[in-house]
Amino acid sequence: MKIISRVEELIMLSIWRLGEEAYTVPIMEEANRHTGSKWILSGIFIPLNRLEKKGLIASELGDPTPERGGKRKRFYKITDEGFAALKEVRDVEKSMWDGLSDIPA
Amino acid sequence: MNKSTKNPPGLLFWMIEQLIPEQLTETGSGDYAELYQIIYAERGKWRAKVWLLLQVFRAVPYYISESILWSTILFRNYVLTAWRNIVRNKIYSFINISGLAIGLTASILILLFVNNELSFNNFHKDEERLFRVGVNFPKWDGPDEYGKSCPVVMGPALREYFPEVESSIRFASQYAVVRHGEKRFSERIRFTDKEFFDVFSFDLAAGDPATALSDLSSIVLTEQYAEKYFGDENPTGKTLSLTFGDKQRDFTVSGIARNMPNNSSILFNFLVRVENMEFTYSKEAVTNWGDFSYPIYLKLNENSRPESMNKKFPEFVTTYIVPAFSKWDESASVENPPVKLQLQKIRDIHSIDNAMRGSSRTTFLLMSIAFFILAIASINFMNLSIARSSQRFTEFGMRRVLGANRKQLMRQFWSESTVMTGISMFTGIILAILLLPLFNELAGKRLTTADLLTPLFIAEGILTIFIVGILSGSYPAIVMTAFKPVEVLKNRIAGRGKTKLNKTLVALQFALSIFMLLVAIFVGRQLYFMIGTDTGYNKDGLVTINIQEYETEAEAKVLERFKTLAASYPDIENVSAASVTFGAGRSGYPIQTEEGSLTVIQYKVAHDYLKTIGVELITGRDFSREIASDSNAVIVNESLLNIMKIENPLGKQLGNPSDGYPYHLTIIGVVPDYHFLSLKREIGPMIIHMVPGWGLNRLLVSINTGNISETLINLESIWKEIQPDKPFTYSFISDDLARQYSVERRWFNIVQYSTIFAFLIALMGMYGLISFAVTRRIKEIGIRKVLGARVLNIYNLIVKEYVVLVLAANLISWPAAYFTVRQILQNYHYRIDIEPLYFIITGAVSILVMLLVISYSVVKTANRNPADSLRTE
Repeated sequence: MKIISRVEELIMLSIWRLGEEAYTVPIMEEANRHTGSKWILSGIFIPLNRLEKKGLIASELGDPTPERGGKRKRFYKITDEGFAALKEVRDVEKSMWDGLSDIPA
Repeated sequence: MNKSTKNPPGLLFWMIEQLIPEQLTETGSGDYAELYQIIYAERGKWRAKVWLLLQVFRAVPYYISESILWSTILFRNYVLTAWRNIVRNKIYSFINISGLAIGLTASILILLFVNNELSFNNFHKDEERLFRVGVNFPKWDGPDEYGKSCPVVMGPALREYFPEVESSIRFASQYAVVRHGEKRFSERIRFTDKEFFDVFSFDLAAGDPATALSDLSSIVLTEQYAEKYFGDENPTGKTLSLTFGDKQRDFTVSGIARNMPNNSSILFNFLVRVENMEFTYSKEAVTNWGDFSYPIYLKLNENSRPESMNKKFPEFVTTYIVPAFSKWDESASVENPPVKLQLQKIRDIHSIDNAMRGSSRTTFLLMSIAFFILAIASINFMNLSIARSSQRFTEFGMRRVLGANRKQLMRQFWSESTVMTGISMFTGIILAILLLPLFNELAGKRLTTADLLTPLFIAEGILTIFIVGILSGSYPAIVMTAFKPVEVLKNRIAGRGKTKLNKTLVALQFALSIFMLLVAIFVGRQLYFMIGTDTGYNKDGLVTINIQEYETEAEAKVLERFKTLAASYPDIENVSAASVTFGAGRSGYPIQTEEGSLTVIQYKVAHDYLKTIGVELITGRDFSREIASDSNAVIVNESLLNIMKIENPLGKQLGNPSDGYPYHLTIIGVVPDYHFLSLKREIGPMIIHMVPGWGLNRLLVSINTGNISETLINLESIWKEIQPDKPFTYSFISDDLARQYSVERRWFNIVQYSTIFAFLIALMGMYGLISFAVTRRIKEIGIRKVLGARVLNIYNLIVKEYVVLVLAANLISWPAAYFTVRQILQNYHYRIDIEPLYFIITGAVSILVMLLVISYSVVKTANRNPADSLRTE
């Protein structure tokens, strides 16, 4: 399995944290809250697409709402492969960091 | 919370929508709308708008990188599918690709030629300021004919007289025997001025251009010749011995020039200072204003304009040339200048020099040939693509059903045809590189792969790939993907109408090929006619040997000694000498009689000339050793008598008008009109005499053709006894003659090969088309067979369809070919007739070819078991 990128990992974790209400806008805000950098929608769309194409996340269309000019929302959740990928990343990170002394202050 | 929704501004919103990735179009715009509401509510209308604007800008980089990524992935996919499709139909692909490749090869080669022709002399620094002096003799030349021969002494005079001239460079030549150690050869030596390398941009591999010619005893040679004489040694500083006639001088190598570029009119192998000519030739050579022999090049100052110099030339002529000329030509005066001068741009001199041989016309004609071939090949390519596509309707239908949208299908076909074109182009270039040596031979050029792989060419190549690829893919891409998948699967579309288009295109191809074939046939016949025609003198077994002496007495001595020694060899029949060989002849020699004056061609000869060349007098007698006054005797040809209306030639007096009356030349004999010049020209008036003044350059020896190689050896040994220091340079008159027609030869070869190309391509086109036509009707043929038809009937069916096509092709091409051939033959005074027989033969051949192709296809298909044919669906 390919190792997912940092961005992809962060987005997947945001999706996980959000649970049921994981669509583009909250995903963006969650990521912003944790990383402090200003993510924008364009920067979210593309990784979401890629992840979906890789089969690590899945999406469903929701209902249209008036605030969205009558457009639907797309809700994301992590697939089994997605969880496997996250686990792999975490294992890799653990083994890489293992034995290294602390980051000098 | 504010329940009313604010609509984001239309334009900005539309823009952001464009930048959302395809998969998320529906939901993405909703996301932006949602955020817009929130910001509007929190910060107000204007902040919301600003935010949206910002989003548009920030989305752009993401959009671009995604597009590129996608395109690369898609590109790879399309190319892969395209490749698979190509491989799936090897025969069709091979035919199509090779057809186009051949067409491209031809065009590439021809374009190289044209590029080279047009680029002559463009590599010199400041070439806009470089000119050659053009010379016109009003008495003998047409008003616009400017030659390049000037007197050597005019160079410095021009520089002194004209402030516009920055440098003047003379470029004279003389032959010498060059010696270093054991190596000894006769070479052409060029004489020029000190500033040669300042004015002309020739690279030196060794030596300093600024000083290479500062010393009078310096010599510069090219790398090729340095290797010839010095091998691996470093030539710089070494001595070369040069012997001009009987005058010898040593020169020191001061520089090695790179081999001459293939687009320079100014060529040299050895270069020395022109001042040396006073010694190597004579004082006359460098001071005589009447000796117009070599070109002079001028570099003008930066602000000077050639027009102002041209205007001042008449004054110059009056000052320098008229006084010199009036010594021997009393008609020369200020009002009647004997010479007119004009500046020629250095970029023009190549076409000027070759205009006489029709070279600018050659360029035009070559481009037409290239265009024809490329047209045929492209038509072929498109035709076959179209024909092939109509077979793939089912495939298209399936693809549509399986979800491909129209755009994707279009892109697939475009990429397929582009890939095929790309492969063709690549093959074409490789072929061109392989054929380059042969083409160089044909076209008399020295083109290299480097000329081919210039950035401009490569760019043009890539452009062509895309243009042709997209054009030829357009039909399947646009037209065929337009049909609804359902209809296609149900086989409602049979593509009937397109057959007419296909047939017209093939007919056009054939017409072009037949046109070229006819032209090739007649050009070839004319060539063989010229080479084979009886010249009126004995050209076989006639050998000419260069005497290489500069003084009349020395020359005469060589002749005498040769004759004496040759007498002991029975195979050497006659020995004589002449000033020049056939095909040339000092033209414009004016003679005058009581009846009037005329300009004739003049040959200076030695005794036994007529015997040697095997021409018999009609009346009168040959020159005789016994009769002393024969030094003033002349022999003329019939044409001269006819033009001057001389009834009783023998004893008639004529003379050179400049010598005045009484005319002291007497006609002692008359020869029939034989072809002393090329067959392109009508036989004009000619005189032969032995007037002293200028020399005999060549020995003429007639030999028995039975034992040529042995006789040649004998000739060489005689030569070695007489002139041990001079190389034995000889040639056969028959070869020289054939060389006269080298231009035609070259032409014919090019036309011949092009025709083969064109025919091959047309053939492939026809084959492809017919096999499709036949396979399309497999079902029909199967049914017919079941119903009892024999292969022959089916054969006739197809033939009927295509016979009309071939006949039409012939009909179109015949008149065009006739006119073109007639135009070409106008250039030759002695020419063949345009016989209708060849037209008929060509027509018959084309029909035969068509029948063969059809037979092959039909036999292949019709022999299948009808059950199989009906089963394939």
